[in-house]
Amino acid sequence: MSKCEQQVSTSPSVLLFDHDPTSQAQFSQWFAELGWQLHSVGTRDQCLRAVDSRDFDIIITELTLGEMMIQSLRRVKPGQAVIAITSIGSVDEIVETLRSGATDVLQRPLTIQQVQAAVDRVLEVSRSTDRGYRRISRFVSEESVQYQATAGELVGFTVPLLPIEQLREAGRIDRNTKLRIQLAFQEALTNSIEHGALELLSPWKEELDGDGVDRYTRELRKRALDPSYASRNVCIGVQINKERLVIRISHEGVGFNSQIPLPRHGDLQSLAPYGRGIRIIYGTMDSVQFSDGGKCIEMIKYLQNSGGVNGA
Amino acid sequence: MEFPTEIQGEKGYITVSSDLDSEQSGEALRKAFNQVYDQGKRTIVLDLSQVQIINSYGIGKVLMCYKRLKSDNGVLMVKPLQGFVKETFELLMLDKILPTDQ
Repeated sequence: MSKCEQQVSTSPSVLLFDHDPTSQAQFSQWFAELGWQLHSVGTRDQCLRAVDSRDFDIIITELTLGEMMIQSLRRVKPGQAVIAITSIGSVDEIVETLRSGATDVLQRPLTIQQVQAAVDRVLEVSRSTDRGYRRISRFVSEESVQYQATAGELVGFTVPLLPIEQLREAGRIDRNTKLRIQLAFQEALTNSIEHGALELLSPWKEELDGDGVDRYTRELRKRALDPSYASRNVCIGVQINKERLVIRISHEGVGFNSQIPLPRHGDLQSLAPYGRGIRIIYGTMDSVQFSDGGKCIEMIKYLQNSGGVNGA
Repeated sequence: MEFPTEIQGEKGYITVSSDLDSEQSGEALRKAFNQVYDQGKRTIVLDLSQVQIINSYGIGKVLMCYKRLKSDNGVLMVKPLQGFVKETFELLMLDKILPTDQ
Protein backbone atom coordinates (compact mmCIF):
# COMPACT_ATOMS: atom_id res chain seq x y z
CA MET A 1 0.00 0.00 0.00
CA SER A 2 1.33 3.41 -0.82
CA LYS A 3 1.89 5.41 2.30
CA CYS A 4 1.53 8.59 0.30
CA GLU A 5 -2.10 7.78 -0.27
CA GLN A 6 -2.86 8.31 3.41
CA GLN A 7 -3.47 11.64 5.03
CA VAL A 8 -0.09 11.41 6.77
CA SER A 9 0.36 13.57 9.82
CA THR A 10 3.72 14.80 10.99
CA SER A 11 3.58 12.22 13.84
CA PRO A 12 4.30 8.79 12.41
CA SER A 13 2.35 5.74 13.44
CA VAL A 14 4.85 3.07 14.52
CA LEU A 15 4.46 -0.54 15.59
CA LEU A 16 7.21 -2.04 17.74
CA PHE A 17 7.61 -5.82 17.82
CA ASP A 18 9.95 -6.85 20.61
CA HIS A 19 9.85 -9.65 23.20
CA ASP A 20 11.91 -7.72 25.72
CA PRO A 21 9.82 -5.61 28.12
CA THR A 22 12.86 -3.47 28.93
CA SER A 23 13.34 -2.63 25.27
CA GLN A 24 9.63 -1.89 24.88
CA ALA A 25 9.77 0.46 27.86
CA GLN A 26 12.84 2.23 26.45
CA PHE A 27 11.14 2.80 23.08
CA SER A 28 7.95 3.97 24.80
CA GLN A 29 9.95 6.56 26.72
CA TRP A 30 11.75 7.76 23.58
CA PHE A 31 8.57 8.01 21.55
CA ALA A 32 6.84 9.91 24.36
CA GLU A 33 9.70 12.41 24.32
CA LEU A 34 9.38 12.73 20.55
CA GLY A 35 5.60 13.08 20.74
CA TRP A 36 5.10 10.13 18.40
CA GLN A 37 2.57 7.31 18.53
CA LEU A 38 3.94 3.87 19.43
CA HIS A 39 2.04 0.59 19.57
CA SER A 40 4.02 -2.28 21.10
CA VAL A 41 3.47 -6.03 20.78
CA GLY A 42 5.45 -8.96 22.11
CA THR A 43 4.41 -11.97 20.02
CA ARG A 44 4.36 -12.79 16.35
CA ASP A 45 0.61 -13.35 16.33
CA GLN A 46 -0.01 -10.02 18.03
CA CYS A 47 2.17 -8.35 15.45
CA LEU A 48 0.42 -9.85 12.47
CA ARG A 49 -3.01 -9.10 13.96
CA ALA A 50 -2.02 -5.48 14.57
CA VAL A 51 -0.72 -5.08 11.01
CA ASP A 52 -3.85 -6.68 9.62
CA SER A 53 -6.18 -4.45 11.64
CA ARG A 54 -4.70 -1.03 10.86
CA ASP A 55 -2.03 0.78 8.91
CA PHE A 56 1.32 1.74 10.36
CA ASP A 57 3.84 4.07 8.77
CA ILE A 58 6.70 1.93 10.07
CA ILE A 59 7.19 -1.38 11.85
CA ILE A 60 10.27 -1.75 14.03
CA THR A 61 11.23 -5.35 14.73
CA GLU A 62 14.01 -7.02 16.63
CA LEU A 63 15.99 -9.05 14.11
CA THR A 64 16.51 -12.03 16.41
CA LEU A 65 12.81 -12.64 15.97
CA GLY A 66 13.72 -13.84 12.50
CA GLU A 67 13.81 -12.85 8.87
CA MET A 68 10.65 -14.93 8.46
CA MET A 69 8.86 -12.23 10.45
CA ILE A 70 9.82 -9.59 7.91
CA GLN A 71 8.76 -11.86 5.07
CA SER A 72 5.46 -12.59 6.84
CA LEU A 73 4.89 -8.86 7.22
CA ARG A 74 5.53 -8.37 3.50
CA ARG A 75 2.90 -10.93 2.65
CA VAL A 76 0.31 -9.11 4.73
CA LYS A 77 1.38 -5.63 3.69
CA PRO A 78 3.55 -5.55 0.56
CA GLY A 79 5.53 -2.33 0.58
CA GLN A 80 5.36 -1.95 4.39
CA ALA A 81 8.33 0.03 5.73
CA VAL A 82 10.25 -2.11 8.23
CA ILE A 83 13.21 -1.12 10.42
CA ALA A 84 15.10 -4.11 11.80
CA ILE A 85 17.20 -3.88 14.96
CA THR A 86 20.21 -6.11 15.42
CA SER A 87 22.86 -6.60 18.06
CA ILE A 88 25.38 -8.40 15.86
CA GLY A 89 25.67 -6.22 12.79
CA SER A 90 28.17 -7.83 10.47
CA VAL A 91 28.00 -6.43 6.94
CA ASP A 92 26.83 -9.78 5.64
CA GLU A 93 24.02 -9.95 8.15
CA ILE A 94 22.96 -6.41 7.43
CA VAL A 95 22.91 -7.04 3.68
CA GLU A 96 20.96 -10.24 4.20
CA THR A 97 18.48 -8.41 6.42
CA LEU A 98 17.94 -5.82 3.74
CA ARG A 99 17.49 -8.53 1.15
CA SER A 100 14.84 -10.15 3.30
CA GLY A 101 12.81 -6.99 2.99
CA ALA A 102 13.86 -4.59 5.74
CA THR A 103 13.87 -0.94 4.72
CA ASP A 104 16.64 -0.02 7.16
CA VAL A 105 18.76 -1.71 9.83
CA LEU A 106 19.87 -0.31 13.17
CA GLN A 107 22.51 -1.74 15.46
CA ARG A 108 22.31 -1.80 19.22
CA PRO A 109 23.11 -0.03 21.46
CA LEU A 110 20.67 2.62 20.26
CA THR A 111 20.11 6.21 21.14
CA ILE A 112 16.98 8.27 20.75
CA GLN A 113 18.75 10.34 18.11
CA GLN A 114 19.51 7.24 16.00
CA VAL A 115 15.93 6.01 16.24
CA GLN A 116 14.56 9.44 15.34
CA ALA A 117 16.93 9.75 12.37
CA ALA A 118 16.03 6.29 11.08
CA VAL A 119 12.30 6.91 11.36
CA ASP A 120 12.65 10.30 9.65
CA ARG A 121 14.76 8.76 6.89
CA VAL A 122 12.39 5.89 6.23
CA LEU A 123 9.37 8.21 6.33
CA GLU A 124 10.98 10.60 3.88
CA VAL A 125 11.53 7.78 1.40
CA SER A 126 8.11 6.25 1.95
CA ARG A 127 6.39 9.55 1.40
CA SER A 128 8.54 10.81 -1.45
CA THR A 129 6.50 9.29 -4.29
CA ASP A 130 3.21 7.55 -4.78
CA ARG A 131 5.11 4.38 -5.64
CA GLY A 132 6.76 4.30 -2.17
CA TYR A 133 10.30 4.15 -3.60
CA ARG A 134 12.77 2.83 -1.05
CA ARG A 135 16.53 3.21 -0.74
CA ILE A 136 19.02 0.79 0.75
CA SER A 137 22.06 2.66 -0.44
CA ARG A 138 24.11 2.46 2.73
CA PHE A 139 24.72 -1.26 2.69
CA VAL A 140 24.78 -2.43 -0.92
CA SER A 141 27.82 -2.63 -3.15
CA GLU A 142 28.04 0.19 -5.66
CA GLU A 143 28.88 -2.13 -8.51
CA SER A 144 26.48 -4.98 -8.14
CA VAL A 145 23.35 -5.88 -6.32
CA GLN A 146 21.55 -9.15 -5.90
CA TYR A 147 18.03 -9.75 -4.70
CA GLN A 148 16.02 -12.85 -4.18
CA ALA A 149 12.45 -12.83 -3.00
CA THR A 150 9.26 -14.74 -3.58
CA ALA A 151 6.73 -13.61 -6.12
CA GLY A 152 4.24 -12.87 -3.34
CA GLU A 153 6.70 -10.56 -1.60
CA LEU A 154 7.49 -8.67 -4.79
CA VAL A 155 3.95 -7.97 -5.96
CA GLY A 156 3.35 -4.26 -5.58
CA PHE A 157 6.89 -3.63 -4.32
CA THR A 158 9.27 -1.39 -6.21
CA VAL A 159 12.74 -2.88 -6.20
CA PRO A 160 15.36 -0.11 -5.97
CA LEU A 161 18.06 -0.09 -8.62
CA LEU A 162 20.93 1.62 -6.86
CA PRO A 163 23.55 1.10 -9.58
CA ILE A 164 21.32 3.06 -11.95
CA GLU A 165 20.90 5.85 -9.42
CA GLN A 166 24.66 6.01 -9.11
CA LEU A 167 25.12 6.09 -12.87
CA ARG A 168 22.77 9.04 -12.98
CA GLU A 169 24.49 10.81 -10.11
CA ALA A 170 27.86 10.26 -11.78
CA GLY A 171 26.49 11.86 -14.94
CA ARG A 172 26.99 8.73 -17.04
CA ILE A 173 23.32 8.59 -18.03
CA ASP A 174 20.78 11.36 -18.24
CA ARG A 175 17.50 11.50 -16.36
CA ASN A 176 15.33 10.17 -19.16
CA THR A 177 17.70 7.25 -19.83
CA LYS A 178 17.58 6.42 -16.14
CA LEU A 179 13.80 6.46 -16.17
CA ARG A 180 13.68 4.30 -19.30
CA ILE A 181 16.08 1.73 -17.84
CA GLN A 182 14.07 1.65 -14.63
CA LEU A 183 10.91 1.17 -16.62
CA ALA A 184 12.44 -1.61 -18.76
CA PHE A 185 13.63 -3.30 -15.60
CA GLN A 186 10.23 -2.99 -13.96
CA GLU A 187 8.50 -4.35 -17.07
CA ALA A 188 10.84 -7.36 -17.18
CA LEU A 189 10.37 -7.94 -13.46
CA THR A 190 6.60 -7.69 -13.80
CA ASN A 191 6.72 -10.23 -16.63
CA SER A 192 8.70 -12.63 -14.46
CA ILE A 193 6.47 -12.20 -11.45
CA GLU A 194 3.06 -12.02 -13.07
CA HIS A 195 3.38 -14.12 -16.23
CA GLY A 196 6.14 -16.41 -15.03
CA ALA A 197 5.67 -17.11 -11.35
CA LEU A 198 1.98 -16.29 -10.98
CA GLU A 199 1.12 -17.64 -14.48
CA LEU A 200 -1.26 -14.82 -15.35
CA LEU A 201 -2.38 -14.58 -18.96
CA SER A 202 -2.45 -11.24 -20.78
CA PRO A 203 -5.80 -11.80 -22.59
CA TRP A 204 -7.43 -11.79 -19.15
CA LYS A 205 -6.96 -8.02 -19.10
CA GLU A 206 -9.86 -7.73 -21.52
CA GLU A 207 -12.27 -9.91 -19.55
CA LEU A 208 -14.24 -7.52 -17.38
CA ASP A 209 -16.72 -8.41 -14.68
CA GLY A 210 -19.87 -6.49 -13.80
CA ASP A 211 -17.86 -4.04 -11.71
CA GLY A 212 -15.47 -3.30 -14.54
CA VAL A 213 -12.60 -5.20 -12.89
CA ASP A 214 -10.63 -7.35 -15.28
CA ARG A 215 -9.91 -11.02 -14.68
CA TYR A 216 -6.16 -10.40 -14.72
CA THR A 217 -6.42 -8.07 -11.72
CA ARG A 218 -8.71 -10.45 -9.84
CA GLU A 219 -6.37 -13.40 -10.42
CA LEU A 220 -3.33 -11.29 -9.50
CA ARG A 221 -4.83 -10.51 -6.11
CA LYS A 222 -5.72 -14.16 -5.50
CA ARG A 223 -2.47 -15.73 -6.65
CA ALA A 224 -0.33 -13.21 -4.78
CA LEU A 225 -1.67 -14.87 -1.63
CA ASP A 226 -1.77 -18.46 -2.92
CA PRO A 227 1.41 -20.23 -1.74
CA SER A 228 1.43 -22.54 -4.75
CA TYR A 229 2.22 -19.48 -6.89
CA ALA A 230 3.36 -16.81 -4.47
CA SER A 231 6.17 -18.86 -2.93
CA ARG A 232 8.03 -19.16 -6.24
CA ASN A 233 11.37 -17.41 -6.18
CA VAL A 234 12.41 -14.48 -8.34
CA CYS A 235 16.11 -13.60 -8.55
CA ILE A 236 17.42 -10.24 -9.70
CA GLY A 237 21.02 -9.36 -10.45
CA VAL A 238 22.38 -5.99 -11.54
CA GLN A 239 25.99 -5.30 -12.47
CA ILE A 240 27.75 -2.30 -13.86
CA ASN A 241 31.24 -1.73 -15.15
CA LYS A 242 32.86 0.89 -17.33
CA GLU A 243 31.14 -0.29 -20.46
CA ARG A 244 27.81 -1.77 -19.63
CA LEU A 245 24.93 -2.23 -17.29
CA VAL A 246 23.68 -5.82 -17.07
CA ILE A 247 20.36 -6.83 -15.54
CA ARG A 248 19.38 -10.47 -15.11
CA ILE A 249 16.03 -11.66 -13.83
CA SER A 250 15.10 -15.29 -13.38
CA HIS A 251 12.05 -16.92 -11.87
CA GLU A 252 10.47 -20.21 -10.96
CA GLY A 253 7.30 -21.00 -12.85
CA VAL A 254 6.55 -20.90 -16.56
CA GLY A 255 8.88 -19.46 -19.14
CA PHE A 256 8.19 -16.33 -21.20
CA ASN A 257 7.48 -17.05 -24.83
CA SER A 258 9.97 -14.71 -26.48
CA GLN A 259 8.79 -15.85 -29.91
CA ILE A 260 5.39 -14.18 -29.70
CA PRO A 261 4.90 -11.49 -32.35
CA LEU A 262 5.75 -8.04 -31.09
CA PRO A 263 3.56 -5.09 -32.05
CA ARG A 264 5.03 -3.89 -35.35
CA HIS A 265 5.79 -0.35 -36.24
CA GLY A 266 2.56 1.04 -37.59
CA ASP A 267 0.52 -1.89 -36.33
CA LEU A 268 -1.95 0.39 -34.65
CA GLN A 269 -4.96 -1.77 -35.28
CA SER A 270 -3.69 -4.34 -32.82
CA LEU A 271 -4.63 -2.57 -29.64
CA ALA A 272 -4.62 -5.54 -27.32
CA PRO A 273 -3.66 -4.46 -23.81
CA TYR A 274 -0.49 -6.53 -23.84
CA GLY A 275 2.80 -6.75 -25.66
CA ARG A 276 3.83 -3.20 -24.87
CA GLY A 277 5.96 -4.17 -21.91
CA ILE A 278 8.26 -6.27 -24.06
CA ARG A 279 8.34 -3.49 -26.65
CA ILE A 280 9.46 -1.05 -23.95
CA ILE A 281 12.21 -3.48 -22.99
CA TYR A 282 13.43 -3.95 -26.56
CA GLY A 283 13.13 -0.24 -27.26
CA THR A 284 15.32 0.69 -24.30
CA MET A 285 18.00 -1.94 -23.88
CA ASP A 286 20.81 -2.63 -26.35
CA SER A 287 20.68 -6.39 -25.93
CA VAL A 288 17.88 -8.66 -24.70
CA GLN A 289 18.40 -12.42 -24.37
CA PHE A 290 16.12 -15.10 -22.99
CA SER A 291 17.35 -18.43 -21.67
CA ASP A 292 16.29 -21.39 -19.55
CA GLY A 293 13.11 -21.78 -21.55
CA GLY A 294 12.17 -18.15 -21.08
CA LYS A 295 12.60 -18.19 -17.32
CA CYS A 296 15.66 -15.99 -17.42
CA ILE A 297 16.11 -12.64 -19.14
CA GLU A 298 19.38 -10.77 -19.50
CA MET A 299 19.29 -7.14 -20.58
CA ILE A 300 22.34 -5.06 -21.39
CA LYS A 301 22.65 -1.32 -21.77
CA TYR A 302 25.95 -0.13 -23.19
CA LEU A 303 26.81 2.99 -21.33
CA GLN A 304 28.27 4.72 -24.38
CA ASN A 305 25.20 3.90 -26.51
CA SER A 306 21.80 5.42 -25.79
CA GLY A 307 19.88 3.54 -28.51
CA GLY A 308 17.58 0.52 -28.01
CA VAL A 309 17.64 -2.87 -29.75
CA ASN A 310 15.47 -1.49 -32.50
CA GLY A 311 17.44 1.71 -32.67
CA ALA A 312 14.55 3.51 -31.04
CA MET B 1 -6.63 7.98 -4.85
CA GLU B 2 -8.87 10.11 -7.08
CA PHE B 3 -8.18 12.05 -10.24
CA PRO B 4 -9.96 15.39 -10.65
CA THR B 5 -12.40 15.72 -13.54
CA GLU B 6 -13.94 18.75 -15.19
CA ILE B 7 -16.51 19.37 -17.87
CA GLN B 8 -15.96 22.20 -20.31
CA GLY B 9 -18.61 22.34 -23.00
CA GLU B 10 -18.61 19.11 -24.92
CA LYS B 11 -15.31 17.90 -23.51
CA GLY B 12 -14.52 16.12 -20.30
CA TYR B 13 -11.10 16.58 -18.73
CA ILE B 14 -9.27 14.18 -16.43
CA THR B 15 -6.16 15.30 -14.57
CA VAL B 16 -3.98 12.28 -13.84
CA SER B 17 -2.27 13.46 -10.68
CA SER B 18 0.07 10.53 -10.05
CA ASP B 19 2.27 8.08 -11.90
CA LEU B 20 0.29 5.60 -13.97
CA ASP B 21 2.03 2.41 -12.95
CA SER B 22 -0.02 0.71 -10.30
CA GLU B 23 -3.38 -0.87 -9.66
CA GLN B 24 -4.38 2.11 -7.53
CA SER B 25 -3.69 4.66 -10.24
CA GLY B 26 -5.27 2.42 -12.89
CA GLU B 27 -8.40 2.13 -10.78
CA ALA B 28 -8.47 5.90 -10.22
CA LEU B 29 -8.27 6.48 -13.97
CA ARG B 30 -11.05 3.99 -14.61
CA LYS B 31 -13.33 5.71 -12.08
CA ALA B 32 -12.57 9.20 -13.37
CA PHE B 33 -13.17 8.05 -16.93
CA ASN B 34 -16.50 6.47 -15.98
CA GLN B 35 -17.49 9.65 -14.14
CA VAL B 36 -16.98 11.78 -17.26
CA TYR B 37 -18.32 9.15 -19.66
CA ASP B 38 -21.49 8.67 -17.63
CA GLN B 39 -22.15 12.40 -17.99
CA GLY B 40 -22.44 11.82 -21.72
CA LYS B 41 -19.07 13.19 -22.80
CA ARG B 42 -17.56 11.43 -25.78
CA THR B 43 -14.55 13.71 -26.19
CA ILE B 44 -12.34 13.15 -23.19
CA VAL B 45 -8.97 14.76 -22.61
CA LEU B 46 -6.29 13.30 -20.36
CA ASP B 47 -3.87 15.70 -18.71
CA LEU B 48 -0.73 13.66 -18.09
CA SER B 49 1.53 16.62 -17.24
CA GLN B 50 1.93 15.42 -13.65
CA VAL B 51 2.83 11.86 -14.65
CA GLN B 52 6.51 11.04 -14.39
CA ILE B 53 6.30 7.30 -14.94
CA ILE B 54 3.86 5.34 -17.08
CA ASN B 55 4.36 1.62 -17.57
CA SER B 56 2.63 -0.97 -19.74
CA TYR B 57 -0.09 -1.36 -17.13
CA GLY B 58 -0.89 2.35 -17.19
CA ILE B 59 -0.76 2.43 -20.98
CA GLY B 60 -3.15 -0.49 -21.06
CA LYS B 61 -5.60 1.50 -18.95
CA VAL B 62 -5.28 4.52 -21.26
CA LEU B 63 -5.94 2.29 -24.25
CA MET B 64 -9.01 0.77 -22.62
CA CYS B 65 -10.39 4.32 -22.37
CA TYR B 66 -9.47 4.88 -26.00
CA LYS B 67 -11.20 1.73 -27.17
CA ARG B 68 -14.34 2.39 -25.19
CA LEU B 69 -14.68 5.86 -26.67
CA LYS B 70 -13.82 4.67 -30.16
CA SER B 71 -16.54 2.03 -30.01
CA ASP B 72 -18.99 4.86 -29.25
CA ASN B 73 -17.63 7.17 -32.01
CA GLY B 74 -15.89 9.22 -29.36
CA VAL B 75 -12.35 10.59 -29.11
CA LEU B 76 -9.67 10.29 -26.47
CA MET B 77 -7.22 13.16 -26.50
CA VAL B 78 -4.21 14.15 -24.43
CA LYS B 79 -2.83 17.48 -23.29
CA PRO B 80 0.58 18.18 -24.83
CA LEU B 81 2.96 15.50 -23.64
CA GLN B 82 6.46 16.08 -22.37
CA GLY B 83 9.53 14.35 -21.03
CA PHE B 84 9.58 10.67 -20.31
CA VAL B 85 5.86 10.15 -20.94
CA LYS B 86 6.20 11.74 -24.38
CA GLU B 87 9.14 9.48 -25.19
CA THR B 88 7.26 6.39 -24.06
CA PHE B 89 4.18 7.29 -26.09
CA GLU B 90 6.36 7.86 -29.16
CA LEU B 91 8.18 4.55 -28.61
CA LEU B 92 4.85 2.75 -28.63
CA MET B 93 3.45 4.98 -31.43
CA LEU B 94 0.56 6.05 -29.25
CA ASP B 95 1.10 9.63 -30.33
CA LYS B 96 -0.29 8.53 -33.71
CA ILE B 97 -3.70 7.61 -32.32
CA LEU B 98 -4.19 10.09 -29.47
CA PRO B 99 -4.63 13.64 -30.79
CA THR B 100 -3.37 16.56 -28.73
CA ASP B 101 -5.76 19.00 -27.11
CA GLN B 102 -3.89 22.32 -27.25
